Amino acid sequence: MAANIVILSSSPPRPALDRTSMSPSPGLPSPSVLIQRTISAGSPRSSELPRNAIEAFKSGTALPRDGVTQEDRTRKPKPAKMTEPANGAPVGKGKKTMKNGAVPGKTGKQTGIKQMKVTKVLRNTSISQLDGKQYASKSELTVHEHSASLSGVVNEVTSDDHGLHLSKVMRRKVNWTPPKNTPVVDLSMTPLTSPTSVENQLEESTFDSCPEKSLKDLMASFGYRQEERPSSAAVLPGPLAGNGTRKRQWTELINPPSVVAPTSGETLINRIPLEETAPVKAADNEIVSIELALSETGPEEITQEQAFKGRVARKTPRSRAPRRKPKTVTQQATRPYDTRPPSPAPVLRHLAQQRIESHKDVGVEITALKSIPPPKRSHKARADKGADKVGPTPRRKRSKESESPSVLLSPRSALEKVGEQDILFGTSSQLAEERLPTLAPLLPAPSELDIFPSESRGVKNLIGREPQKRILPYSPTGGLWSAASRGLDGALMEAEVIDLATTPKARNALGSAAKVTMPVAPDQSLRVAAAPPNRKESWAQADENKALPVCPDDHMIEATKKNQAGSGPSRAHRLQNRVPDTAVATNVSSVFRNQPTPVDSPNIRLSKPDFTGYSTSQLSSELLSYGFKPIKSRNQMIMLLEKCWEGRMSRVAPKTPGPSASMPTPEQIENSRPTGGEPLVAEGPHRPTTMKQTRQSQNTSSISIISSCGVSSKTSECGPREDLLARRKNTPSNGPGPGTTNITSPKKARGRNKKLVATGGSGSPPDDEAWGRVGGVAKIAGQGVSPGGVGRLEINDLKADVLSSVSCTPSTEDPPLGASTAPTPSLSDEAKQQRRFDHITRAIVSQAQPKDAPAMPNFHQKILMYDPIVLEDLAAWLNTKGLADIGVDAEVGAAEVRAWCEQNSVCCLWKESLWRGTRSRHG
Amino acid sequence: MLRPWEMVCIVTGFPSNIAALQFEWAWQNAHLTRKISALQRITPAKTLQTSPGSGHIRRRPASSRVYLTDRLGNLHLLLRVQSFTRWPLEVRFFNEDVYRVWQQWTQREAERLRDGIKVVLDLKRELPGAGKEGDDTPPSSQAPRRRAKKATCGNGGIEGLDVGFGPIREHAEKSVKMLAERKPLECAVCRGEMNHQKDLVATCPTEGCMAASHLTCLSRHFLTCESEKRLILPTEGMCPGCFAHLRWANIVKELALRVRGKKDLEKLLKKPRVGSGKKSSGGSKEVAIAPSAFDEEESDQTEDSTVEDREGEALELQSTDGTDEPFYYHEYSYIDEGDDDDVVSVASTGNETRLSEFHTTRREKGKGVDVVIEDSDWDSAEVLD
Repeated sequence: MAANIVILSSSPPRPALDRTSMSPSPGLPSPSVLIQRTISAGSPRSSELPRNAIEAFKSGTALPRDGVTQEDRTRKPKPAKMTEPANGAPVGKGKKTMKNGAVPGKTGKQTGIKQMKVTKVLRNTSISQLDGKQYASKSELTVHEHSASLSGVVNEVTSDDHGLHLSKVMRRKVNWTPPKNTPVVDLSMTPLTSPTSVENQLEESTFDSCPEKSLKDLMASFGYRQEERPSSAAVLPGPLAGNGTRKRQWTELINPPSVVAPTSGETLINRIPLEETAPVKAADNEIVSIELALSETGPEEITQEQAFKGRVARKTPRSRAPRRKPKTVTQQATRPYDTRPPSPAPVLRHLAQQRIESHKDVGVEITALKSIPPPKRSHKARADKGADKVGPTPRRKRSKESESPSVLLSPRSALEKVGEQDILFGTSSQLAEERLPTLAPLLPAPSELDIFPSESRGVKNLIGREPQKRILPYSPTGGLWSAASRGLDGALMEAEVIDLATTPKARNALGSAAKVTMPVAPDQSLRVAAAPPNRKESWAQADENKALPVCPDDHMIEATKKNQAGSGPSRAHRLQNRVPDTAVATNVSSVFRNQPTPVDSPNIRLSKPDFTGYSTSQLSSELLSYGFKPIKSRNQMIMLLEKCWEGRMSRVAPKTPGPSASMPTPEQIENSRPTGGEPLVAEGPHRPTTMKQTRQSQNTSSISIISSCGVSSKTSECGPREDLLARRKNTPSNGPGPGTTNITSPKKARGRNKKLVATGGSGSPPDDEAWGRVGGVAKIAGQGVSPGGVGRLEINDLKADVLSSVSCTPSTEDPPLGASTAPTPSLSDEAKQQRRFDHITRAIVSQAQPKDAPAMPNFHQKILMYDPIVLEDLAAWLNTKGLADIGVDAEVGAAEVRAWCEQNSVCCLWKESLWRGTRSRHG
Repeated sequence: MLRPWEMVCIVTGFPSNIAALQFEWAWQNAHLTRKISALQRITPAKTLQTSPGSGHIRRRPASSRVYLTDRLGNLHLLLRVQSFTRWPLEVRFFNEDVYRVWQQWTQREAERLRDGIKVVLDLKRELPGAGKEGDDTPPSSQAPRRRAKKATCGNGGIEGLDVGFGPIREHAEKSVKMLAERKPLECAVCRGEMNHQKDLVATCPTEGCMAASHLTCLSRHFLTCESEKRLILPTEGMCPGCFAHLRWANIVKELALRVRGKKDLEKLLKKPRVGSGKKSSGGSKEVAIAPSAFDEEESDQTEDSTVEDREGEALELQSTDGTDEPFYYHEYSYIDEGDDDDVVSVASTGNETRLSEFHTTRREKGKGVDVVIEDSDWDSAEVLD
């Protein structure tokens, strides 16, 4: 029942016993007396306390308590006494007379504790009654809770002695106390802390406490506390409420007390700064801890471990409350104030931190029992020391603000977090699917982007958040893809992705392309870096852009974007703009979709590829990408490819400026295209009309699509949307048929081969005509840093079935990170399939003539004679012999063979029939 | 048995019974068949049905729709899909109204059928002596029926279909004769030597053209003509020897007969030509091919059409996709009766009856079929009427 004893001694008079007496002069025993008692009581752990600790306890208890008590006396005589019937052993402190009624395990103590708090409240404000009610309602508190409450009371009392903090405390309580706070009993470390330092600090705190100043200090201290203990709304009630559970948890974690003792010194040291910064609270803590230590000496309902736990709980709970819920967004919200190195990937970081913290906590508790000096804590403490009390106040506000959001996250941020989580743990398909939900929340949150200009974004991502500057998550716009693009440490996983997407060709382009300083989320990746960093205008995200089917040669999309330094349109605006942009892009693509444009990733290479090194199949596929049918002669194919490449390069070359730091290369853009980026944006095609309106209204950016089919576009670079639209209208659809169906068709949307080439002349305004000339290449060029720069997006697609969306983020900082393998795969899928079909055809055609042809025709002959082909047999033959004979190392399934048969109008059937089993007649 | 529908359309030219059955199923299940892509599909795969009582909406697989336009639309679609587009199919209409609807549909469709697919309005032509008896009079015996069949073959209508090897008789004769001359053959395409016993030698059906080539070589040649190098199955092309425009199906038909149906070939060649008519109507008389599958298919069609008719309006008699098998190598039964009994009977059982009925109902007096082509069912049908 040590706890009880402690409570009695330290805590002001019990409510039940004596309300009136409590307030004026809580008869708390002096720490020395208390300690002596405890020692005399013979608690096994009393020995752990250093001798000199008594002084510290003394001083510590005296200060806060005195302050409280004095005020109580002077202002509110009402408050109940601290008299405790059972123990009746008051621990008197110099100024305050406090009764230290340490009666173990008595209910009366509990009531007394409550009383104490109530009285305090009363002293400070009229609201005190409420507190009293609250406390009264909590009659069922456990012993630990009581001890906690007692400690709080003691602190206040000590402060009263100096006339310092009572009012503030009350106010603090009022302001801060949320109904149920976990916090609580900081039992653990105080006894161990070095007395001198504690005393000093306590004294300082107490002396400083003039009512006015004390308020500030109080606030500051709260702010500090908040950082540590975000949840700490109410000092007293909170701890009481949450204490029990925590204590149990802690008990489990905590190791035998023996370990605790040595660490106490550390905790003390750590504590000191904190106390300085927040004098009142620190003092309280100290006192509480001391009291607890004393209580430990008393009867053992509460073990020392528990006491330590309680202390830790009290101390830590506030500070660690967020940590305990690392999965929630709150921790992230409070992170900015945390000095720990921020990691961009929120969820993972959370988890990791959580683990670390948990380990930390455990370790600390086990070893030190108390003060885990988390870097931030120590850091802040130091800062507070140096800064004074004034410094912390703003912080406190901030922390308060941050806390409130942390507790109540805006739906946007919450969704964002959720999205990030999904990204982290979900599959790409899931991500793609879930983009929709996340997008909505993103729309209303323009502030993030505004807050973080594109430039800063990159920095932010790289560096991590600066705690004090930014509260918002690192990548506001990022969304799922952005989150997914980052590793656990928040670093972008760019290199691999880029390589995959671009293939060797892209790499070359990348070399010349603008630097990608910033890691960009995949969705952002589409945004072309060409735009100046400040530029907020971002195109619809290119995630869906896989299908940006714009005829390379024929069409250009110019995105003219307004550069806004800092004060750009809100993100909402941007988003709105995005939609139209994408819509335009899709429309354009749809218009030109049918054109057989030879857009292939290989085409975009800056350096001439060595076609001779290609395999025949690769050559054929390359030719296919250019719209040519495979040619028998390999040399001819190579020559043709070279010509094609030269032709393309000749177009592109004049326009591509030298390597501009800020401008992303087309390849980059290609690479940056995320497969599954934000789908909503990609669905722009559905709202072509709205785009125009929004564009005009926003006037932030304009995208012009130029169909340059052989004709240089007349539109000015910065041409407004209207130009684009007009052009679009005017441009005849080259495709044989309108591709509307294709656009709508979901399948096509996915697997498109599109190329985006962003050519950025950083300083030079792009030449429209030049752009127009460049065919077959999609260029997105944002003018480097210059405001009002024009970002151009040139998109070429041979068969642009679907133009999902092209989001050009002008910011150079956003590098095309997204592994844009997705766009290529779709096209490559078709090409692959066709290639396989070609292989099958070749294998069949080249099948050796059977010796006895008429009787046993081979598959080719069977097909020529309209014989039904048994799919299994053909597949088996192909896999065993047919494909191998033509030098193709591949396997085909019966289903694929069936597809081939259907493509070639070959009558085929399965050997296994539905009704009769195996067919025997037809083969 | 009275069949209250009218044969208005038939698709012929299937290279095999399996092909015919596949096409038939696809046509009758256009809402399900995978031959039609989702984008192209006309008939929805599923329909929403609202139960009258509870108002609960159920999604159920759609049943094949029986409307004429749907049928024709799906037919048009199937003839365009990759799976069937290169088959040597023909569409024959026996009703002008339906044919008109088809034309309208065709005009509506953006895509056109492959050129090789023939769509003809094959109305029955009246024979000079016909019409006296009128359609109503059922033939009382087999002899007149056979005679009627002979007479009507090639004269349009369902009765005029020649499903035998008659049309290729000359071609077969020429080929046999050419190959029988023991002199070495040279492939007209690859100029390689050919052994007709070991190689599949394709010959030009053109009279007087002695061009022969490997089947594979010729196919390559045809594909080259079609500029469809990626495909494997040609449809038509130019004879490398005489440069005549040839249908691949005809070449293969003769080749298959020669290679696989020696008995049939013998019988075909053994028979004297009845009439030196251009259409070789005699061929059909002499050779009767009654593949079992054909019977099955016929019966299936009959059933289907019956169902359709019950469901639909009388006038919108759905076209039954009577599949005609011009050549079926594996399982034809050769009946050298000197009569086209089987063929006729097969055809008539299903089709002619309907046709005659249709004609009876719609024709004016005196325009009936002079030669009655009735099967035994007709009597009962008449009685019922």
